[in-house]
Amino acid sequence: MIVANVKPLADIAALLAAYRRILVVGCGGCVTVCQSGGQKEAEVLALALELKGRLNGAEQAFRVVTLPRQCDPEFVALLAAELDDAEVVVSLACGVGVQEVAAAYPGVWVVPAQNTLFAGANVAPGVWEERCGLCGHCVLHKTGGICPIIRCAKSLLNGPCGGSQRGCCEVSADTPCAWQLIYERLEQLDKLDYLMEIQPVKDWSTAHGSGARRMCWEEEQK
Amino acid sequence: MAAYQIQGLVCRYCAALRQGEAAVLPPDTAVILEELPCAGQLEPRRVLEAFAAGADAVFVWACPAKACFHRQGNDLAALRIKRLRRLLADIGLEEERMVYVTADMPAGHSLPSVVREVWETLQRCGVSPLRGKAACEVKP
Repeated sequence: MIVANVKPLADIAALLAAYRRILVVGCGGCVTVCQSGGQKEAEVLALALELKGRLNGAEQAFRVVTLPRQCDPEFVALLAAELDDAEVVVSLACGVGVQEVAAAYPGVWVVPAQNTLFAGANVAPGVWEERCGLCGHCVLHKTGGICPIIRCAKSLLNGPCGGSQRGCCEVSADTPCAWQLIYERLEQLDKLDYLMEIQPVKDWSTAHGSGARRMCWEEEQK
Repeated sequence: MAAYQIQGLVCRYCAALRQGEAAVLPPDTAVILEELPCAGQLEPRRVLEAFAAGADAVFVWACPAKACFHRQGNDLAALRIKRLRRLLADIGLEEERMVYVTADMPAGHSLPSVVREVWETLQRCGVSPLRGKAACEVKP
């Protein structure tokens, strides 16, 4: 799941200072689950902006709508019926949704209300943690389902660096050493021999660094 | 018109207006009560709507700490109120306008004492600065 966090209210208000008719658009996807950009959060943001604007003498009108997802064109198309006379759209989606809305409506100014953080999991009530580095070449089958790319501060592929202490990373005592976790997991599953295989230098060509990546189903394009 | 308008969001299991209590509320204060099935059901949107509608303060009256009728609704409400106070400050309203009272606090044993606590806060903060400012439109 994509995890995002709402920008400070003052930052969003500053981005909207020049506009009077504002459409706040929530997203029913990942950001609803991480409680930062769903219908409830969109309503709270619109109310908070209205109150802040009222105190500062701004004359702004807000409308709130939530799309099932903002990262799929068929759902983004639903926004056409809601735009009316809106001068600006505030998107509470992740960066993907913001870009899809902007691409679908070239004549509309779209403002992001969130900072998109990472691909992660809900590890405790109200706590999300990064779990995938989106590197494009998964090695989880060799590491007991624990990703050394994102959970090891140094993204090491052949065991720990030697800096871990009492099971924690030397970078932060709050971060478990990924390789300690991998060792314990493989030991539990009686698969410690997996660690004897030396991993080659990682092929980073599938990761970020050469523009936007793409995946295609050929039969869907015909 | 009353000098102060107070919105109360009260857990149905710990807070109730007993007979005769309305008569001992501060005379310059209008209190609007809304019952919640549990303080954990507190919706931030509802609090902001209350301020938008003219409340000078909003209080949440919950079960005693660590003794929620359900499980941990009051603890969750306390955390949510912390976040709401930060949001109020971001908006430009005093954080103190959001009051949390549990039934085991000295101020939490009856509605008049809760209202008195909020009323004393309003003596310091005054009426909401939103008063007299034209509301803008928010359409869900």
